Amino acid sequence: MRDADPIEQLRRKLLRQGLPAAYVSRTARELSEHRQDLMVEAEENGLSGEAAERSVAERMGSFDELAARLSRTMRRSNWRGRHPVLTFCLLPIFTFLCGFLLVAWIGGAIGELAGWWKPKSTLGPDGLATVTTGVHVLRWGLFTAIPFWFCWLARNSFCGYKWGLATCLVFSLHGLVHSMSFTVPGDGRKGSLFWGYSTNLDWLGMMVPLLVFALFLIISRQTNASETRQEEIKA
Amino acid sequence: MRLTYLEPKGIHASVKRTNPNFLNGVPEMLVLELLSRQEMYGYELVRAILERTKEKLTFGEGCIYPLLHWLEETRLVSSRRQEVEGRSRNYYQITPRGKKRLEELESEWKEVVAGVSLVMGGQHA
Repeated sequence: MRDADPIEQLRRKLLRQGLPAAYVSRTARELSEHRQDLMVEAEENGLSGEAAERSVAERMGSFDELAARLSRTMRRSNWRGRHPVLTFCLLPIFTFLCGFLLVAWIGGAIGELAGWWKPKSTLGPDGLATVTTGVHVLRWGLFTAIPFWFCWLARNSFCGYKWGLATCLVFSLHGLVHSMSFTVPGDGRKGSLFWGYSTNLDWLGMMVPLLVFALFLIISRQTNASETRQEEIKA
Repeated sequence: MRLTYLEPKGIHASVKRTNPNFLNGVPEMLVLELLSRQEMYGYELVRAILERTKEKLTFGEGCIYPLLHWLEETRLVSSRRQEVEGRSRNYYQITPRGKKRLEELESEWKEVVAGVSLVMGGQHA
């Protein structure tokens, strides 16, 4: 059944847009209290029933426009919200590049000093297998963690699901063309890491950020429910 | 003047088409000024604006909240939940940063008023 209460509709609309549930509940509560005060004022002025409700509705203004204004105003209250394309489309890729290069560079330097990458590596076969796994875990870890983190940032900076999805789509395209291979030292050659972009499409790399977004939606809903409960207790 | 909405960076609606910057910062200044006198909750603030402007400024009352939340998010005001006469409400108070911002806005506003008065031959000063 459709709920006719405009404040409840506004609450659902803001939650659907991906605003933090604690903020949405608090706003709905304030609006509801404001409406109650207007109702008391209308009754004191001799209005009752439908006439009072009409007067209150008129004074509160349009809830659709209010919902749009709330999300726009809150989004603009922070740097990320004022520069969403930079934050949610370019910065995640930059973070991935910097994060991967930094860790790979540190790992490479340590390995170089320890002689891991020499044709006759100081690491045994088990050690090299661990390093290989570590490199792949790093890549996939960043592929998962960065989109999730930016989705969370989008939610908490009032930018909503839209910009979280934008991050995941950009990351998905990036994953499609991103390629990495790691060869262990042996047979008279040094170990090497190839890292860059190629036309050999990586479908898994494309799917992972999209799955991360789906996971984020599920977790976000659970968080919304828990934040709403906490706000109700606080109220 | 009928204002459809109060906005943190200006009052839009009827003035929007002609000069969107004309009343920039006015709602922010009004709210900060009222909160600098005493802490208030949303409904109280709207009543205060209507009374002190003799209802020359009217707007959809729900729209005080985007402005208040924006001010809170930018740390110009803070809020606390308080129970008064059996009803729990969100009271807003100005912060030191908000007071500084209010001073800036007042000084800008005085300049605008002085400039306009000069053009209008002092008749509205």
